[in-house]
Amino acid sequence: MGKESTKGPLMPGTLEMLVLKTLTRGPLHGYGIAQYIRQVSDDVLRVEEGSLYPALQRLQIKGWVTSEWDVTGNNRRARYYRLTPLGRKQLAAESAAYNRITEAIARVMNPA
Amino acid sequence: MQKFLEFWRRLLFLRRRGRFDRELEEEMRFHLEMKIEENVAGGMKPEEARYAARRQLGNDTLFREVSREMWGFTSAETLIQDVRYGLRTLLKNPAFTAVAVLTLALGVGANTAIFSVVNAVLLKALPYHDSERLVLVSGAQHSAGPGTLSFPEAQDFAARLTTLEDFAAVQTQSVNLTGGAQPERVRGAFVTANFFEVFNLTPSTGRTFSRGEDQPGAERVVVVNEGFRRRRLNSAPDPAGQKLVLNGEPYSVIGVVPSSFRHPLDPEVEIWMTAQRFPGYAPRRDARYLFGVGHLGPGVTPEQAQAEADAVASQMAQAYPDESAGRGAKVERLEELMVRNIRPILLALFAAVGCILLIACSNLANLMLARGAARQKEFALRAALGAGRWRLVRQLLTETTLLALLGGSLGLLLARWGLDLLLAANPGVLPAGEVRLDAPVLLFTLGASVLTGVLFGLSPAWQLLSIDLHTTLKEGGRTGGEGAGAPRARSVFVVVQVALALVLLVGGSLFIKSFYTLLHVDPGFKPQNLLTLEYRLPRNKYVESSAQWEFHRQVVEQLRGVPGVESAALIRGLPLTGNGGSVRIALPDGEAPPRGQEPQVMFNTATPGYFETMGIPFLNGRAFDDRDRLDAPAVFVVNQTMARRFWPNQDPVGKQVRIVDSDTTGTVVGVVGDAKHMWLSEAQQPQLYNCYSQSPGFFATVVVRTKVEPMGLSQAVREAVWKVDKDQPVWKVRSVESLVAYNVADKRFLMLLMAVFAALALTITSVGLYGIVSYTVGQRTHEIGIRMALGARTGDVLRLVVKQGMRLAAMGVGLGLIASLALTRFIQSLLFGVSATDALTFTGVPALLGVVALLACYIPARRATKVDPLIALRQE
Repeated sequence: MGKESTKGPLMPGTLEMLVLKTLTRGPLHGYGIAQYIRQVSDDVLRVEEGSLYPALQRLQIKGWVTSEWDVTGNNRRARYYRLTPLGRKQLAAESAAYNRITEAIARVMNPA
Repeated sequence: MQKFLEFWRRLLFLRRRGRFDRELEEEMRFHLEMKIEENVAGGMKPEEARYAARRQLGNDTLFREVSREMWGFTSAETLIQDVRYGLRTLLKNPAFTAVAVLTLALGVGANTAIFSVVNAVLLKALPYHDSERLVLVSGAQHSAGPGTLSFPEAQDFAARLTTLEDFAAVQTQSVNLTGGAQPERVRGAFVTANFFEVFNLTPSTGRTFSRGEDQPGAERVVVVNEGFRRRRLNSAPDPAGQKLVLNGEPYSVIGVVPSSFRHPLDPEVEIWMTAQRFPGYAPRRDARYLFGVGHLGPGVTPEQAQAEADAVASQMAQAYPDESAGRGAKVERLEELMVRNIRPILLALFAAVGCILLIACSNLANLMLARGAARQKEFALRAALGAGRWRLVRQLLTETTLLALLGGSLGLLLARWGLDLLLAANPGVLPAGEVRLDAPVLLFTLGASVLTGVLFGLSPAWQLLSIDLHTTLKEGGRTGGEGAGAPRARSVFVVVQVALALVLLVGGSLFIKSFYTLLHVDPGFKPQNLLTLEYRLPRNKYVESSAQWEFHRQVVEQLRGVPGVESAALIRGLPLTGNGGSVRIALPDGEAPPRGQEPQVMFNTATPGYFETMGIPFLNGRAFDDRDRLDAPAVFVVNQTMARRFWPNQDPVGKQVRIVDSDTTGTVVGVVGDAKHMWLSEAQQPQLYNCYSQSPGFFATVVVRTKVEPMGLSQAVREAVWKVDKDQPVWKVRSVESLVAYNVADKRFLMLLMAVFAALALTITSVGLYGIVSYTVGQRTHEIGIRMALGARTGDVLRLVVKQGMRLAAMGVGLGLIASLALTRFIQSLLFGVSATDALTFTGVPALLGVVALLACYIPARRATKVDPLIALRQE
């Protein structure tokens, strides 16, 4: 149980930032995005993967991400998401803000 | 830009809405399958892998739902849903919906109709520039009503009133227009040269008056309006220079002004002449015939202007004691003057319709509460299935607002019809052309409807918020469960309704009684079978008094010869026409009061047959007769009130009276009965008559007693006058009965509407009372069944149910009585011959309301006694 608590819900907006970051590596389908985030974050950020989909809708409405149907390596239909230039700009802004906050938090948590 | 693109994407989404669900499902299935494969690859058994994958993905139905909602115009879509659901619910209960919509329509309709009148009459500014600063300046004789100013006085005020920005003098009078096929009477105004500047009016053709044209010796010029140009000048494009014969003298047209300009003293004025052309003009200080109009200076209050006018008037009174002693001045805002009489009437009506809307509101709130109780299970179920409380409240408010809007639309329709009826039934009371259902009125209706919806939706919503889910659902088949507060809320609503209805009924009864009293006032004459008309002789044609009298005498003679005419006479100012003046008198026998403070009496001039023709009884002495010629000593007739006031316990016949203003002394020869002059409701004034043959003058009112329907003779009497002079215009040919009707028209208007509103309030309230008692009976069927099974008799049950309803009614009546006592004094000034705390009204109306309430309780109570205890108990 104690371990679970560090895998709690994400801060609002964090998931979207992670999706944007993931997509900088190229177009990816929903399962791919989820898999990548899980692997890279070493299972720490394990959320219900279905919650990815509402986030993807929001990114599309905002115009940060577009999508189209394509075929996967083993010939299955999947919807691929692609970062737009606007999305790239948004990511830059968000990671800058994120860095500022984490640095600030880090300074408070680990004073020199 | 960002927002717009977002909006655009959402719009585009609407096109692929159907595909979206399918695609999202496919996408998530793909995700799930990949996940299962991953799990199997990790060493799980297929069943286990599937289960784990589902868990890792979470509640896919919910995520799909949320994803879809993200694309929607969320609030708008929920609203549409609510509206749809609301409409369906309303259609499922047609009886409820019909009652609710109709109640509302009546409430909103009455309010819209009255508001449109209030809007047109009280709220709209006069159509003049800076109309809120326009004031009327009049002369005043101590406490008497507004009087006129002479030309020199007007000039003094114009020069010395620094609080006014500008000052023009005006008077209106009908003008004889001759030279056409028939002599015609035109409404004319006589104004100082700067009049059009004060009203900032530019002519559409030609020019208006220039400085100095209002001085004696200037050319005779006239400005006409567009309507006159079309009608009389054959739409001449440039009528300047055309000649008109007005009051027997030639005038040159100099300009045309738009017809949209309404003369402030008389909206029907079509031609304007300069002030010195007023018939009988003299540059004397006591030749008074003008009113002043002007704008208050910026930031000046009417009180400041009044103070200055007082000072100027008292300086004038000192400087010219012979002409101006005792005279004052009055400055009043024009807008205020125009609405002074109608405002209290409209406010009373507005308050009444406001009460009706409140009654309708609380009635509906009660209906909704009752229905809310019945729908509690539906709401509890929906809440249990996950609907948020606020979402349900929103749903409920949407429903009531829908009802309100439906009611409002129907109300608007009712208001339209009602307004047409109102205006048609009350000519003269309201400015017909200006009362419209325009944008402000529609806005008012919309606002009133929505507010009503929210107001009567609030109580059931509040009730909804206090539902205890578990209890309600657990109660199973029983419908009895409702919040403990609801019955009390319903009782409060009923009490308030009854109280408001009582206030309206008391008001309505007072107005009815007042009008009834007014209709039974003895005017002092017999208005049936009397026909009247007016004419004014041109001054240059009848210069000598003897010529004037000769004309009048011949008119009376001609009229007597008309078949169907019983008798005919002349009077200067006929009662109830608004014509007539007063004079200051002195009694040479008595002590002379200081100058300027002599007593005033109504003054009129009559021919010998006048009293007989009108049916005014002769009490003492003799009437005027042929002895009273121009060169004979002056004689007077006085009315009973004058006789009593000036010669108490003496015979006035033979006494001397001096008229101060004209300095004529005469002898009283007879006493006649009192007759009302300005208003049927007026307190009787002392009246002094002199004899037409001794004081002929130019203006005359003909009065004819007919043996046939008076208006049937209207053409014959016109022609009788034209036999004397074919160029003499006559006007205002009408029956005296119509004058009586017109005189009480505003009271009649008020009485009718108040009666209708009171009846409306009574109806809605009794329906409400009936509704709540029926509902309670329905709720208590079980209890009543038990009581009857235990041996209660019909009478006991009846008493039980009726008592409950009547307790509420009694509380309402009590509250209403207190409110009425507090409120009716505000309408005292609108009442005639009845006190605002009239004992009969204050006992009769509660009794009436009590009987109606009893009936409204008794009918459902009877039903309660028909309950079969077996069936009632089995219902459990």
